[in-house]
Amino acid sequence: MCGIAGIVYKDKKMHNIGNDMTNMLNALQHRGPDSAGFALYGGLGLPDGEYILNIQIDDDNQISDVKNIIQNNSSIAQEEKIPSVDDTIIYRCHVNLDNFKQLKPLITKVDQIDDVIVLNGSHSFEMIKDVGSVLEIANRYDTRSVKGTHAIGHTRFSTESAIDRFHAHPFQTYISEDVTVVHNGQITNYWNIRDPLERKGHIFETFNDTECLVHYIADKLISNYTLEEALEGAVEDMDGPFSFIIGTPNGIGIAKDKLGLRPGVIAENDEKFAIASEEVSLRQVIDTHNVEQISPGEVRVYEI
Amino acid sequence: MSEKTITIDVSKLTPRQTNTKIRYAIDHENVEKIVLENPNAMHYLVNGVIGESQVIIDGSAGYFAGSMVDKLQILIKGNAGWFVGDNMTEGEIIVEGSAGDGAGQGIYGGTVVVKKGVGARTGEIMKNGTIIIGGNSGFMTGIFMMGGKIIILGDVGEDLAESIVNGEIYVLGKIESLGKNAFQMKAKDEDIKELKTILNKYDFNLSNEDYKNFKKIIPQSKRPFFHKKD
Amino acid sequence: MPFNVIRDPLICKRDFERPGCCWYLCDDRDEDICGKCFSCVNNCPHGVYEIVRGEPQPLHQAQCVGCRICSEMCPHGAIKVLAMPEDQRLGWKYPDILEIERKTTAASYKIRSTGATRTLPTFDDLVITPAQVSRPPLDNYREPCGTDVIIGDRYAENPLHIDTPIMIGAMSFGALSKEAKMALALGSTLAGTVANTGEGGMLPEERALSHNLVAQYASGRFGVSAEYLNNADAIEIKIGQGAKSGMGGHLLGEKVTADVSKIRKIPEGADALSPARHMDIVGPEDLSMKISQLREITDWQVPIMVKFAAGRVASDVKIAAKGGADAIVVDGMQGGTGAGPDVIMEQAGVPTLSAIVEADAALKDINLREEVSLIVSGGIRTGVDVLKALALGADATYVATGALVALGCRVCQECYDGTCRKGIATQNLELRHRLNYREGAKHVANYIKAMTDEATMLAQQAGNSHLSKLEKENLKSLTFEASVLTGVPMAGEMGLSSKI
Repeated sequence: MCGIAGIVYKDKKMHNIGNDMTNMLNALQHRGPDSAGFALYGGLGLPDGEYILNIQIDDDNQISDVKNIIQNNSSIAQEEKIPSVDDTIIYRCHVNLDNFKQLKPLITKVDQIDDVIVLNGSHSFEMIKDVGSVLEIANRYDTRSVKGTHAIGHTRFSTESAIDRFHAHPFQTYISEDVTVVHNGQITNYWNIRDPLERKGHIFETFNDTECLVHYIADKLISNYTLEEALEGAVEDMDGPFSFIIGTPNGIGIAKDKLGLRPGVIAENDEKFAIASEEVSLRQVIDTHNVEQISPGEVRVYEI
Repeated sequence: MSEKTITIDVSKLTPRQTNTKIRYAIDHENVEKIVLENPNAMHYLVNGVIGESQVIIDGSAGYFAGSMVDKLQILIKGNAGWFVGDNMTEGEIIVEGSAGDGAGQGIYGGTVVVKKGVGARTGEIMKNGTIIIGGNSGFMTGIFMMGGKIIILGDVGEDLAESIVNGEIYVLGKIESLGKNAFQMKAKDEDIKELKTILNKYDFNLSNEDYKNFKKIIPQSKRPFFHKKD
Repeated sequence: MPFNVIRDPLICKRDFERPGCCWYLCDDRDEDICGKCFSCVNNCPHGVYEIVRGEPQPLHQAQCVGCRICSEMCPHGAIKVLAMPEDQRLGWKYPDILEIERKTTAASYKIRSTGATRTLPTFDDLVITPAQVSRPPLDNYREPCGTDVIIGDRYAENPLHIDTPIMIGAMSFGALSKEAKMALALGSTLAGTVANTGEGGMLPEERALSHNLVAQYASGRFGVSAEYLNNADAIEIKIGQGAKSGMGGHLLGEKVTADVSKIRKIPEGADALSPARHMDIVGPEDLSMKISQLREITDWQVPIMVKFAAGRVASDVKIAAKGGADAIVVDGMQGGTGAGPDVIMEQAGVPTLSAIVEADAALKDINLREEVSLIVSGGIRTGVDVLKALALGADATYVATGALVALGCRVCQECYDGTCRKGIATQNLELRHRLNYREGAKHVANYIKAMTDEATMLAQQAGNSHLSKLEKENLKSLTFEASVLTGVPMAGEMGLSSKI
């Protein structure tokens, strides 16, 4: 299905993660020509209660409709328009809310406007995902200048669902704050996983199998499992080939399926920890003298 | 005066351009040694090349390095990606670093040596030839093996020799578990003698004590799939 | 479907007092054993006959599959095989009960040969609408109709140029005898088309006799090397086949003789079981990398094709097209095989009819229809089938079982046993002598030529001057199922032509 990459800087300081991730994903372009996405953590520095929304609209006129709805529940701090492919526009704004639980209801309200789709809402990470090549997307959103502490990213080769920015990875859940996933593989028991979670109140936005991973992990996290335990559960419960990376405000976690059908390599030094589908991606950011393979069924967490 | 050694800087070339230059050098310029500089873990390096020459990859190779080569000798100074030596018919590939999954998959002959560890499914569907792994080998090493020899000096993961039909696997380290149709025994004296010859050739200097610890794995039945008698 | 096998004892002995001598087809004529030799008993692949008091009797009628080899090979014409209507016993018909009984002793699934035998919507459910005055018909005797096709000119420097859109499908040496492979190779040359190695490696004779040869690259990698790939005119990456989707080739050790083992490069007598998937193709990016790898090995010279069993057709086709395939083959569930599980053949896959339409639409959806050649297979028997397949969206078709029938196969479904009475699917030398490869080649070439003529005739009466120019609009459906599966309107409904 794709290529995945992740990077964590151990000192919790600001680093050029946008540039790193752009280079890592560009090295994996051959694994996914359809779309690409980044979840860049730690650099937004937003005050408590402030969230960024990325909204896909078809024309400028819809912006006032969007603003009306938002201003009913909160205030708009900043805004920005980014033109994208096929005449769509990404409208990005900062909003103020009392707490995270208000975010999804607001997003649902904005989604109700015809031809408007909220791509994501987040506090501690910046989500950039779009159709096109990695370098095209990097130019469009100036990803290289984004700084932060850790990031995950993805290049997409669609398997069974649609190709559009909405179905691009990373996927996010709103049950647990700022949890994202990028995935290489195909979850073959998707409906078995989705069904009980939906009845618990998780809201699925697409029919893309990757989405069930992030809802599953978030469900475990709010039930007081650690990220490592949640990933171990995923290795048992999910079927099909997979290597996926979860991003949280504190770090990243990786899991590989028990038959080891999808690749994952790791390299680490005193400064950083990097993981990717192929060594050629790791080499963009770290010396690959000692590259380690993730074993089938293995789970690893890197938190800072 | 014919050129005996040439150097190719691969950093600005595509795999096709690289392989074309290598083939030309071997076929038309009688080159005996080719050095590839700045390979940067590129995929499909030295694919389908036939001829008696030596190729040195000065760095890491990507996926399918040395795939379907015949009679060539390849030295990879860095690491190799997945499926190094895929379907090789004859020749020698030495990786000084580590390699990914499927090392030596489907080989018909020749020798693949990886000095450090490898990933899962080493030597899958191989028909003949020899694979030597200096470090550990992962899950389902030797799955569907149909002939040849695998030698692992480190530990081996679960389901070793899963559904093996023919061939021999020698493991020095720990075996996590055996796969279907795998049968473990102690290595015989004549096996050990052969191991010594092969391993010494590639500078794996083991002690006599070490050689006594080799486990030998062969198929239990040559017809495991259809419940037929051998 | 049950059969009634009737042997008339009077006719059986009409020339001699002793019944059923097959001496005119004898492999090893020896008057001493003649008296104990009975043509029907020896040639029935399913053990229907038994010798009772010195005479052959068709005792085990439930085992008859209707191949009629006994009838064909009886020197006196004493045997009639009649099809009978099925029991009306819902899920507990006699064959269902026999199958449960078989399971009680075998403890495993049933393996047999050829393909699905159940009722499915097929090409016969569609008709081709004739031209009259709204558009004129072309004269089959006096006006030309083109049949040539170019396969795989997307990236390959040497695409395949063939004279007819009917190609010979992949059948391995091992599953088939050397004589059968040679007949197919020579037949393809005589017909101006292309043969296929199948997944058992490339016979030198096959390469020498065929003008165009596709080398198949399957999950077992039997016989594969850089030389093998570079000796071919095209490469076909076999992801699956319609007969047994999601499984690899089965060649039981009985058929892996010295010859077979030499070409496949595996030990004699070893079961050649291909893995269910290529061990290095798990997802779309892997297929893309595999296509790139094979291109590097063959220096971009020849078309790289990808063959799928028809399953999730749209997704698979899009992945192969985006991954760089020059041509895509979609094999419907009606496809045949030398050996495979009965339940997979009958119950897994989708019919060729719907697969063609889905593949064509998928390629159009990603704007690659003009770049990628689409080849379909699975149950193609006549020139009409071919033309309908082209009209539904294919560029070419594969015939495989049909080509074997042209060599004498009677679809007795026992290929896996290695005792093919026609010398086609066996390694037994005596039986192989029954197949003369030159005769066989001529028969195959005539068959393909006749199919091509059928196709041109139908194309012209529909008003078109090249087989590739027919479209869905030229078809009407006679059944509701075929209409829903293909999107072809029912006959009598107003089609697109009404929008003037």
